[in-house]
Amino acid sequence: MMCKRDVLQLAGLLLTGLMLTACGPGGGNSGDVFPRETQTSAVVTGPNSFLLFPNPQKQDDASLQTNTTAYATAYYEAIDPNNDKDTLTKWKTANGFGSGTGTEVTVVFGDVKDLGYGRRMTARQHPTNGSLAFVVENYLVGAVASYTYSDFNVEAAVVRDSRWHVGTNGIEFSVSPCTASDPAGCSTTIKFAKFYTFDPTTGQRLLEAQLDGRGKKAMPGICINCHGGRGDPLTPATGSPTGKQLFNLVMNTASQKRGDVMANLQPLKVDSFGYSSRAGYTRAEQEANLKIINKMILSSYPISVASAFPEDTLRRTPIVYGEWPGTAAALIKNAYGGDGLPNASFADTYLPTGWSAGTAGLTAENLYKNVVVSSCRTCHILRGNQPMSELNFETYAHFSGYADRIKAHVIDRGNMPLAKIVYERLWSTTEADTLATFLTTAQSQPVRDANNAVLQPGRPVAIPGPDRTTTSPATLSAAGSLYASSYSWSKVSGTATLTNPTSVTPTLTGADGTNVLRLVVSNGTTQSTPADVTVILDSTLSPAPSAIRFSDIKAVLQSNSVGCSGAGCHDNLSATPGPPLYYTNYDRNRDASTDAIDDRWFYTELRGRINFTDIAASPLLRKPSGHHHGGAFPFDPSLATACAVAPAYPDCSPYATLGAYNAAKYKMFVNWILNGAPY
Amino acid sequence: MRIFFACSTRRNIASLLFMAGLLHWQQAQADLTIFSREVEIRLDAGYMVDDNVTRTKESVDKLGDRSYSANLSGVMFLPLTTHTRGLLTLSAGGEKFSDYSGLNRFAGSAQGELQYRSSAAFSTPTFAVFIRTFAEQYESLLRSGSRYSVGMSVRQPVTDRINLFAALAHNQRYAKSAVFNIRENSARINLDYGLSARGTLYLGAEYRSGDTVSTAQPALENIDIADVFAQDDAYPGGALYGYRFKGNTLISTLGYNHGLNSRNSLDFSWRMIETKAEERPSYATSPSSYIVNQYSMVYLRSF
Repeated sequence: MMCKRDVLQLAGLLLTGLMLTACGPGGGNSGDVFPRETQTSAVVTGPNSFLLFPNPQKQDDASLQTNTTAYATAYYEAIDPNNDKDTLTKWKTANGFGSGTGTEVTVVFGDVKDLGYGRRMTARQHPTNGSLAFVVENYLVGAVASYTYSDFNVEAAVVRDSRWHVGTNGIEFSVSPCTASDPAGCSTTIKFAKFYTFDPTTGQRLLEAQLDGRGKKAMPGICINCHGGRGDPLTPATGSPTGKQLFNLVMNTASQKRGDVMANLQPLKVDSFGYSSRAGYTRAEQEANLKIINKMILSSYPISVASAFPEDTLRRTPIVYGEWPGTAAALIKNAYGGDGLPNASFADTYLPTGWSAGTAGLTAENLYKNVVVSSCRTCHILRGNQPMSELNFETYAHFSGYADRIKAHVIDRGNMPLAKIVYERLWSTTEADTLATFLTTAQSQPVRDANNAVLQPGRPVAIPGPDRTTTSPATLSAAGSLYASSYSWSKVSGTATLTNPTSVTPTLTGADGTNVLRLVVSNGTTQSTPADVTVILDSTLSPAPSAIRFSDIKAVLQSNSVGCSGAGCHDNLSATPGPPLYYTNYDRNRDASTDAIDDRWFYTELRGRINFTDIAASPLLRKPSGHHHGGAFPFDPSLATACAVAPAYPDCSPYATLGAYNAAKYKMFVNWILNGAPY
Repeated sequence: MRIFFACSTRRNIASLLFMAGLLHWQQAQADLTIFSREVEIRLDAGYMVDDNVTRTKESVDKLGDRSYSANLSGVMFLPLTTHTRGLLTLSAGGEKFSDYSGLNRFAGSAQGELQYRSSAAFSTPTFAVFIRTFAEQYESLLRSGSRYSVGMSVRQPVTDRINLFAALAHNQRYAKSAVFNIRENSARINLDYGLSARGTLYLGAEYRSGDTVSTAQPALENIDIADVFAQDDAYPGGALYGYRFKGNTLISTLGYNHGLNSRNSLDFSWRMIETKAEERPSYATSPSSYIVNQYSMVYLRSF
């Protein structure tokens, strides 16, 4: 038997043993992934405008109209007016999938560089009319990391693992029936691209989808913003043939059909994809089918002159004024060896002439290869139209002409690149530095901090709004600032008094004269660099800024004096398709009368040319003032069209006191917009 | 042998206390042995070849390794009543692998066992209940933690050459990573056959049901059946992931123990482990189970 001393010794030993085992499981491992748990959306920090239009049509209630279910509803009503395709099954049947006719091929690949999905795409071409339809099952193994590309995604697509099937897209290139909502020129024979998304389980058509782990976003914006589509505002419900808001009619489309947003099909950039190593799903085994699909896609692009090459025979010709001129055709043709598509394998060596070292210099060529191709080209090659192609970034001049906006979107706002994976790649590689060098060296855009590091979006950026001429008291606004939680205004020069200088909307009161105000915004302890705005107080302005209404703006737009009308562009209704917007009075809602309702519709269309999330980017201000306008630049302040030189203009005064006549009109537009562009 | 302390100060202190306690106990046991032979010190040193340390199905993921181990243990027999006695076992030791150092570990354990035998007759079985706690520190941070086991056993002499042993146990493991947080139940049976005065052949079979861990390259098939997975830090390159899933395991053992003299022996054994996951995706193409072969040679000495 044990003695007392032995028992104590034993107890001591047990104690030490238990203390050792008490180390226990510790604090857990942050790398643990629980795939059976419901995947939640990522906590959003920093930039969060992915997959949204740069101008999302912000409304008075602060909603972003292109990201609403109302927008999606109107879209589906436009492209499927009889609601024949509200389920995936109906949609596939309507498009002849599995009918045994035509051409139908399936490929499975990983969309490594854009949306990150494993994608199972079945493409189909109608045997006689050439219509196209693509059903794309998207797989995302969210357990691996909430939203990113991984090889698992491709594997899930190969085995059709329903657990990771996150959605199914349906894309058509087909004709559409015209309805009473469409204009007289609506075509029932011209095909255009249409986008649907379906629930992966029920197959029901969806108004919204979550593509990037950052919450649901509305159709069709999440598709068409990178397919070249426009995000114009809906019409008013008042005066609509259906009594509901209609999808906007894009005036410069060939089809003249509501729902034709001028979007086009993306080329399959075969060598940027990931593939499975499973038999039947390697790149080599799928290369032929991928080429068939790229030929289908090419056949959907318009071509200016009919071509005898087999791949061009189905392409619509000629290109109509104002439409996208099939720019991406050059990429596909180049990748397969040129006209005739002689090469079996896709090899992306496309370098537009306007970017080659011989044309634009070696720096430009490097910029194209290292930044534009990976971060810009996918979306921009489907943009630009026949008279104004600069947004396609097909030349160095096009790209550099947008340097100020590239800085605003990429460096400040973080809403480009448009997709999260592309955005993160740009900022995690040398791409951002290469772009910054271009912006700094070639374009004198300040994009580096004191340590020469590239400034990244998410830092507070002070935006005090455009310079203006207004009346006292003037309300300033820092609401357009980015990533800011506190505000500090100060006066740099001038005699006016600034009240509430730490508010978003301080007031400037004083006698006529020029004042320069400075805004610094902060987010926590991080301060923005100061930004100045010049505010000229002028008590003689008439109408006063707060009294400017749509009628005043319309009068300017319809006046020959500024060149918007009378030049055969925004007023020449017979020239359809034409510009995106006509300024003349006409029966916009097709109720056989031109009246106040049409005025309201005109106002809504014009308001769509204002970007209330980024006023400086508003086409209504930028295009006539010298930025990427197919027509003239009537608001260019450098024009010396002073009232003294053109006294016949009855509305010359009082803005004439500001200097050049058209510059004065520009400032009136600014005041109207800063006041919320009231009707 | 290198001892790795990479965790918290608390753990370091606990480990030092344990070592101090062990030294203290060794000093004390000199006194204990004066009274009787109720305390036994055992030392073993072994060498093992394991052809699948990753516990994986696909040959491309299978990694083999060799390990060296050493353990020191003390068993204290505590007579309680006429028919019962307690056993307290404390042990400390470590294992070092040749290639995959992340698997190197230092461990200490304490086990209490209450035995009951109704009579001293030869054929009378010995029933026992036991509880065991086990702390281990790996070079792989994911694995470090503790284990607990409770169960019951029975020992039954069949003849003067044959002994049977059977046990049921519930085992839990807690580790830094949830991948190695494991719960399982096991049933084990062992048969010893005395070939001669010095040689004993033994056969064993153990069935385990519950959580099991396999390490492999990323594969959808594994993710679809896993409860949790994480990049496994025991293997260089970061290409392998540890997956925990529900499975059933059968462990078969064939061994031979050869007594060199009354206190020294050599033990040779082969263990084959086969684990099959409870779930299997319809599209799976990999083998349905993984198999491990372990060949070991251990020198044992008692004091």
